[in-house]
Amino acid sequence: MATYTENLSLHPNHAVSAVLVDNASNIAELKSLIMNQTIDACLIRPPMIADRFQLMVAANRALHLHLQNKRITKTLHSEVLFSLSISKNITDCFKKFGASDDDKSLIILEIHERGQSRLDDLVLPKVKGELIPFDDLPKYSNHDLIKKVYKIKEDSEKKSSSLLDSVVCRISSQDFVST
Amino acid sequence: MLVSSYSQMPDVLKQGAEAKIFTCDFQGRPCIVKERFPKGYRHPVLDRSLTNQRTKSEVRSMMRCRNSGILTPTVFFVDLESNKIYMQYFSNSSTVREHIIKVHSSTPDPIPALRPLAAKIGSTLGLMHSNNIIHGDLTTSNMLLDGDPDELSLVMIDFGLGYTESVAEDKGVDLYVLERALLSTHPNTEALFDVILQNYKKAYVGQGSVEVIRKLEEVRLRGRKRTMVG
Ligand SMILES: Nc1ncnc2c1ncn2[C@@H]1O[C@H](COP(=O)(O)OP(=O)(O)O)[C@@H](O)[C@H]1O
Ligand SMILES: [Mg+2]
Repeated sequence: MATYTENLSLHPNHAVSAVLVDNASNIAELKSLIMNQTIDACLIRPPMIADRFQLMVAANRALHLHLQNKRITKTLHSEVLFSLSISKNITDCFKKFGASDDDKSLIILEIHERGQSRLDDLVLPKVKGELIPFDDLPKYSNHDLIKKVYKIKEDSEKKSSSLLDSVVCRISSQDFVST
Repeated sequence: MLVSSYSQMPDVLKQGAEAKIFTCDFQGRPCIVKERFPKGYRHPVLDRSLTNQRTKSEVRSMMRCRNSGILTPTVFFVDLESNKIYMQYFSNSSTVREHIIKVHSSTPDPIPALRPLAAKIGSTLGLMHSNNIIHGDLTTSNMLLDGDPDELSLVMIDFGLGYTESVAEDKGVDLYVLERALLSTHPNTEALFDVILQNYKKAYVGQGSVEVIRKLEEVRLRGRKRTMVG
């Protein structure tokens, strides 16, 4: 099965389900289905993701803010994109982390109560593209791009941190650490 | 043992004066949660903002260390409502304090055995201070040795009193705190503090270490006067 599911550590009655899609041909259509609330998920650009752990860190943060009524964006799923990004500019976050109409690959990510995922039944039938095993995610990531967007300035930090951990720290501290 | 299932109660690791520390699993990675609780005797509003400030300071200083190439726990999540920091748990580590005590009890001539560690501490602090990171509570309990102690993988923790400052005075005080902590918990370790200082100077980028050492000597004098008067 191509759908990857993992419980969320901060709120373990919730989980993330996600798929990786390549050669997608209808991202614009999927986006409008999200806009008109036919499907409930977010579409993420795989090159921006170093590892599934990065997604889980952002999802935990988004759900936590959502449950505390402290969400900045309109929906739980847009908050995942906002959490992934260290920029405070919402439009900028969506542009950098959200799949765009002419992208070829994307991650479709859903946060749901445990056992209540709608991804397989409601979302996947609408997707035109090729489902890729989720474990292949790191093959799609672009480390130079990630360093640029997360403002990871090389050398000294490399001694004390993997790229993934540098990213994770920036996501978790974005509210009060300026980079 | 690490708690790997959410349904189990978290293990309380340490209960300090200001924070409670327990372990858990964070998306498959060993995690500790450091939760600062209000002190109670302070004004509630002041208390809240002070606790909040410590939590933020801790994460900020950890980020600055990481940028400078100094090992600190990776931060997974911060909850400023409940003042919790979720961070990487070095489950196979000992504090420098524990390590020194162990070497003292198992080695007839502990000082030479501890020299490489002292050198590592010195070079780490030299790097930290030349990046203007003040720790604020430099004790041997706030340094971890991750994995095999011989590999000298030194992780700095507990930055709640940390801040950024370039003047030599603050750095001198930081070193003085360490000296006092070292000598009071591990008697007869003067030689080790010398090794720390030598390597501190070597690792300090630029000329600033001379001034820091001078400040350290000043602070020592003040400390001595105070104890003579008091
Ligand atoms: N990331 C960590 N990995 C492993 N042990 C830790 C970690 N953080 C703290 N500890 C342990 O918990 C103790 C207390 O943590 P610390 O952050 O120093 O809080 P306190 O303010 O109570 O001193 C440390 O001395 C160490 O033994
Ligand atoms: Mg401590």
